[in-house]
Formats: sequence, structure tokens, C-alpha cells
Amino acid sequence: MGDHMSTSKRRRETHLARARALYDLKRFANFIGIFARSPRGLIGLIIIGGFTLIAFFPSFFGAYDPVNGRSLAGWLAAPAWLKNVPAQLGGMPDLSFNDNPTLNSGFENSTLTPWNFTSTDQFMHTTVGHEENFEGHAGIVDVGFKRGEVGTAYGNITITLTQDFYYQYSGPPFSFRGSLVFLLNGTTTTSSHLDKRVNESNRDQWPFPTYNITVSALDVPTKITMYLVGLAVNRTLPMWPLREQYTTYTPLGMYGMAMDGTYVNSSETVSLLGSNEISVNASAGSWVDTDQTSEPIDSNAIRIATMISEQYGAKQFATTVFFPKEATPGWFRLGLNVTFFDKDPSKPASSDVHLDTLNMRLLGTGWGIMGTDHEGRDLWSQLMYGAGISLYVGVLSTIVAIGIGLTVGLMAGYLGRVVDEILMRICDVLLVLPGLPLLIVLVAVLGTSINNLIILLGVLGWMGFARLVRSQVISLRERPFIEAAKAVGASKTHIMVRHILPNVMSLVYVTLATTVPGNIVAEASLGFLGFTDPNRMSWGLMLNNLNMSAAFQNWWWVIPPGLCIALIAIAFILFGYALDEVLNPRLRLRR
Amino acid sequence: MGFRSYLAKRVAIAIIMLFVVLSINYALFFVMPGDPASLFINPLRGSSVGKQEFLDRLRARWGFDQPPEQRFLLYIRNMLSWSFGDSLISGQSISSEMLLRMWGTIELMGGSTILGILIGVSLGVLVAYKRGGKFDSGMVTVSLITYSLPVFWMGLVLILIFTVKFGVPSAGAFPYDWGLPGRWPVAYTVSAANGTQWNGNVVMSINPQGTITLLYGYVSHLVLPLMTLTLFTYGGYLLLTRATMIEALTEDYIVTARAKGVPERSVIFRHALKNASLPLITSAALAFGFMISGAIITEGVFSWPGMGRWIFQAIVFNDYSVLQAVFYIIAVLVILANIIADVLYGIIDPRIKYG
Repeated sequence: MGDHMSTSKRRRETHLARARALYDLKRFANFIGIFARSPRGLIGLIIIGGFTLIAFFPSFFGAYDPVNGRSLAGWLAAPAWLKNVPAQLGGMPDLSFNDNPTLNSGFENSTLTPWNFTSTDQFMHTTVGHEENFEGHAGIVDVGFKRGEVGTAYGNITITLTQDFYYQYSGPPFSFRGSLVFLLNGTTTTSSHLDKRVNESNRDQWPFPTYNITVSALDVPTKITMYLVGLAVNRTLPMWPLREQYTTYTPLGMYGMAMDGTYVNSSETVSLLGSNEISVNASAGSWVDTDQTSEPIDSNAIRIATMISEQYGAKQFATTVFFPKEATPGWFRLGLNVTFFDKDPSKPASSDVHLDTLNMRLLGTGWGIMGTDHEGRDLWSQLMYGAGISLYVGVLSTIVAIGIGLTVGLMAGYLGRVVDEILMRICDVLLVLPGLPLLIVLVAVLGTSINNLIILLGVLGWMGFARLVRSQVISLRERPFIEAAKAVGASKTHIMVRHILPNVMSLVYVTLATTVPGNIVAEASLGFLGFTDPNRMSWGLMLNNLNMSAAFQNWWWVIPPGLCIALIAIAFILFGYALDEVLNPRLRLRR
Repeated sequence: MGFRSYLAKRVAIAIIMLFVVLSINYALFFVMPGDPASLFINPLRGSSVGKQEFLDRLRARWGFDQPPEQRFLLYIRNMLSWSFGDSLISGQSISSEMLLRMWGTIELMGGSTILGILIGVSLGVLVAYKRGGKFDSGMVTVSLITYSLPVFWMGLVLILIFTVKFGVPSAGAFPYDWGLPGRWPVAYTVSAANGTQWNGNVVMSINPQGTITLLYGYVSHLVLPLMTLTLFTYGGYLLLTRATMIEALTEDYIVTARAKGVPERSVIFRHALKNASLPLITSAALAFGFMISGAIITEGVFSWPGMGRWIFQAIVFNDYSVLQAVFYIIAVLVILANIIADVLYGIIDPRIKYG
């Protein structure tokens, strides 16, 4: 009997649940139907949806690291597509792009084409395709000097390695960066030829037990000079030397050799530019990669002689080299001089220079969809990654604020009296406190993490909504259905949660949508002032970087982040208004 | 309850509120982790010359060596007696520096709030009167957009347009960027070789061309930040005025007034706007109250030497004595603004019963 009862009861319950679900579904369909009739709401929803998609898959939309991906192109590069816009419309036909014009730069091709190798001296020997090379690269050039007899010193002997390349852009690059991997060996007073080949496996352990050589001095000081010459204008004007000068080396401790880099004035190769060499500190007998040195061979690191910059009005060294305009596009020559200073005739001498990866990269003044920032990072990727932070902070902090405001408003409105008084006074005090300065102080003290920001924005932003809920609850409290619930004997909690809460939920949805923009803007403002996590690229931080590097003229950097903030804020406002219209039918009548 | 007793009650509540805010400020700056005296020492000051003396002065002023309750009383007394101590950045007295900074903020924020209210309310009335048309929806959309744009971005865009293209000065460093010693119209002295001194304003009055030049410099520096803030503020007033005016214009007494043959201008301004202005007055009064905290971003964009810039510098350089003074001033201003709004309510709308 009881069994039967419970079955029928269960059946009735399932029936009820199904009816309720159907009713809910119908209501939802009705809601969607009304909502879809509001085009503004739909536009808002589409924009929010788009940004949410970007927020979840930022790496799909922006391919580069927004924070650490530095020097992708020249700093402050313009958008690449501006090259195709006519100059009258604000385009930049003179933009150049990243380029790597040298061929066979790693000497993989053993015939050495297209390198020109000039050695006029019979005492020079060269080997290409040596098996000993840098980190498994395929090829190598071994330049050597050897004087077996005692008697006459040969003086300064230079061999030259050059390659001509065509620079295809009409404007100069932002900067160029040369790289060279080299290893120096030399004879010592005992005339023993240091050969690294045997010791490749344990390069770091020097002096090696297999060699019984006391190294005291390098007989043949060697200098490596890297340079760049414009061929179209027939002058060697902007040259770009890399100075390497080794006179002697002495054993130093357990590891390798220290170089005594006494400076020799290289004025014979650079007459106009003065002293703008980059010197690379190197240990003899071990490979040096100029890209890994503390000061890479970068045109940004070269100081331009005042005379040159006055003459050509150039700010960057690269602009000087690829100036004047009749030189670009045109032919340029990348060259390397290895000079042996044979000065001491009293003993035989020999020296070796192993060269690998003689290369030059040009960083362009144009890049990607939105160009780069002041550190050469991709702005488009930053914009894409920023969407996630804005939405995350905006939505979560609003949820926190709404949660607090709802609880406070319900309690103050329904419980009344002392509770109301206390909560509303807290509300008043918080409203008197200065919002943004307080937020900044707290963020500065507690740390600039995103989660701190969310909590602080929530805790400082609930007051208005609490007041709204409270006034609504006060009017609801006197309604007959609450009286009925009270008469049945429902507890206060039950009435608040089951009867009052559903009636203020429409308020919650609408406020949720209309509060998010404020919090997004607040987050951006904090980012703009620099009080944000520097490892998370947000739209505010993008504009902070812009302000700090004073690049106000780069409109492609100024406009998009703010436009995105505005777009997302307006989308939420439109969505909220449309929601308001659907949820509050009275509003519809008034229009 | 009459007006007087209502005002008395409001003032009493305001005083209690001020006390609570002071306590919160105290807690914020004194109960923070670390030795409070060391917090007051700016690490960027570098040299230790006079550091001990400086510390002693700080100790005496804020009572760091005394028990907490004594320290709290000392703090309250210092705040109420307007003796805030010296700024750690500039080394000058905070109260005198505040006057200068305050003037900068009043120029910028006060001016833009007044402009914003004038433009916003007049456009709002117009839009409400012509509601439903293309003009209405256009204006509402535009003001919604400008209202929701980040103010610092608007500043940057205006710099992009006016400074980069047309050379309008953007830095708020006037008159310092002109090599002048102080902020106009604060008087400054010019010394001549023979020992005579002129007051800065005297120099201006005997040299009308100089006055015009100074005035030009002043206005040209003010125009961009003022434009930014006005663009930001007018939208809110426009939307608020429109909403309240539409509500007022659909009331029965407007129909009655029109039926009586009252001129349209009078209907709009005397009947509708007067009744619709209550929420406007509250929000305007509160806007003046929150003037300083609103200034922090715009003054940052234009490096305008006002209160907001001061707050920012104080936070960056841990200048806590400036911060607590500024927070105190902000609280006082907001509380005052609230009282003024309540009083204005009664003057505008005599129907309001105080109580």
C-alpha cells in the first residue's frame, strides 16, 4: 500500500518537474524571443561573445608572447599594412621589414659562394668545411697565418671575407644586428700550435692534461673587424666595425685564458665615424658567439659621432648607414677583416681564426597588424591577451561586488532596525572614502596580482547595489505574499531566500551587466597608472607603456586598446539595457 | 522637524562620520606591517644627512614612541589642527603645498565639472524635449560612448590629435616650462640687480603684454585636460537630465500648464526642469566632493600639478604623510558635499519635509 503511494507520489513529482521544466523552457524561449527583438542587446551580446572567444584562446589570435617576446622587429614599428597605403592617406611606403639578406652565412656550402675571399698573401691558409665547428654547425672557415722562419716580420696582414647583398626596401631598417661566432688560437713562445680539435669534448677544463704547454703570450695579435658598406653611393662612409684586439694572453686560474684587450685605435678603417666600435670580450681557445655576449653587435648599441648625426639628421645608426635615400633600395656589402699584426721577428709565429655564422639581420620598421611597442613586442598579441584580463577582472570583481551587495541589501532591507542601521552606516562610510586613491594604496600595499585586484574592486564596489536592493526589499516586504509566507510560519531566512531573492534577481542580472564596464575601466585605469601585474599584459598596461615611452604619435598603439575597452564596456551596457527592458516590462510600456 | 534641527542632525552625523573615516585612515596608514617610522622614511632620499633629526621630528609629531591610544589621539589632533607635517618628497610643509595643488585641481576639475554640467544639462533638456527622434538617439548613443570611454584614453587621443598634429601644449607644467618660478596667479617675486623686488602680479600689471602672454600660456595649457574631462563628464549629466526630464515632462502638471497656455519655454524650464533638477543637484554636489579622487588619472595623463598627481607621486614614493592628509581632505570634502546637497534639496523643493 505504502509502496503504491510512494510510486504515485513519485510519478506526480516527476510530472510536476517536467511541467515546471517545460514552463521554464517556455519562459526562457519567450525571454529569448523578446531579447532578440532588441537589436542593441544582440549587438552587445555578439561583441561580448567575440571578446570571450578571444579571452579563452588568446594564443590562437595573437601568435607572439605579449610580455617576453622582445625585439620581434624594430622598436615602435608601424603596422606592416601601412606600406600599401598611399602616403597622402597617412601610409608609409618607406617601411622596411625584418630581413636576413646574407646567404650561406653558416658556411654550410663548402664552395663558400657567395662569399668573396680575398687573401693576397702567400702565408695565408684557409680551410672551409672543417669538421671542428661551433655547436654542430655544418661548416666553418679557418683563417690562418704562419711564419716559420726567424728574421723578417711581415707587418700587418689582412684577409677579407665579403658578401654583397641587395637591400630591397626604400626606407632604412630600424636596426641591424650582426652576429659572428669565432675562435682564436695562436702560437706561443714555444711555437706550439694550440689545436682545440682534440679537446672539443671537455672544452671547459683548461689547461688540458694532454698538452704540456706553458702559454705565456700570443705572438700574433689578431683583430677582427666587421663592417657594412653602401655600394650604390661610391664611398665607404658608414662603416660598421667590430673591433677585436688581442695582444697577449696569460693563464688565469683553472678555466681558460683571459684576454688582455689593449685598445688599438682603428682609425685607418673608420675615419668618419670616430670611436663607435663594439668590443667583444673573449677567451682564447673557446668559441665566442657575439649574440651571447653582454653587448651584442647591434646598431642600437653604437654611438653615432656628433658630426655624422648633424650631417644626416639621423637618430639611429641604422638610419645613417642606410642613408641617403638614393642608396636604398640598393646593394650593400657585409665584410669581415681579419688582421694579423706580425711584429716580433725573433721567433716563428702562427695564428688561427675559426669563423662560423657570419650573419646580419635587419630589424624592420614595419611589423604585423599593429606594429610593435617600445621593446619590439607584438602589439596585436598584447591586445588579444589583454581581452582575457579585462573580462576576467571585470566579470569576477562584479560578481564579488554583487554578492556582497545582495547579501547586505537583503539583510538590511528585510531585517531592518539595528542591522539596517549598522549596514547602511558602513555603506555610508565606504562611500565617503576616496575610491580610486584607496584602491591604488591597497593594491600598492597588498601586491599587484590580478586576484587582489578582483577582491579589492569587489569589496570597494558593492555599496550602490546594496542600497538599490535594500529599497526594493523594503517595498517587497509589505507585499501580501510575504505576509502569507509569514502567516504560514516560514522562517526569515526562508522568506529572504525563497520569496524575496527571486524578486530581486532581475535587478541582479541587470546590475551585473551594467557594473562590469565600470570595473573593466577601473582595472584599465590602474593598469594605466602602472599598478598592475607587469607579467600579465592588459589594455591598461599597454597604454601605460605608451605613456612611459611617450609614443603619442603612434596612433596604431593609442587607439586600439582604448577602443577595445570602450567596445566591451558599451557592449555590456547595451546588453544590460536590453536585459532591463525584458525583465522589467514596465519600462517597455513607457517607451 | 524643522530645517535647523535637520541641519543639526546632519552635521552631527557628519562629525561622527568624519571621526570614523579618520579612524580608518589611521588604521590604513599606521597598522600596516612594518615599523611606522621607517615607513615614513623615503628610501629614495638617499643621503643620511639629517636623517636622525628628521626621524626625531617625525617621532615627536606622530608619537611613534608613545602607546597606541596616545598616538591615535595625537593623530586626530594633528589632523583637526591642520598640521600635517612635511612632505617627504619635496620637504615642504604639506598644508602650504596642498593649497597650491588644490588650486591646480580646482582649475581643472572644478572647471570641467561646471562645463560638463552646463553642457550636459542643456543638451539633456534639449534631447528630452525632442525625445524619440534621430537627434535623441544620436545624442544618447554619443554620450553613452563618451561616458563609458576610459578618461585617460580620451586624454591620449586628444594629445594624439591636438598635440601631435597641431602643437597644442599637453604638459601641465605651466608656468614652469616657460621658465617662470611659480604657478600663476600665485604671486612670486622678481629680484633686480639693484636689490629691489617686484611681486609677480605687479610685474604683470605694469606689463599688459606680459599679462596677455601669461594668460595665453595658462589657457593653452588648460584647454586639453579641460576638454578631456568635460567630454568625460557631460555624458552622465546628459543621460541623467534626459531621464528625469522625460519623467517630469510626462507628468500631469505639465499637461495642465500647457492647457493653461503657459509659454513653452516656461513649461520646460520653470515647471519641468525645476522639478527634475533634484537628482542633478545631488550628483553635481557629489561630483565636487569626489573632485580630487577623480583627478588622479587625468592629471597623470597631462602631468598636471594638482592633487591627483600628488596622490600618485605620494603612493609611488611612499609619502604616507601626504597620503593621509589628502585622504582626510577628500573625506571632509565628500561629507561637506553631502550636507550641501541635502540643504540645496530643501531650497529647490520646499515640499521636502526634513526628518
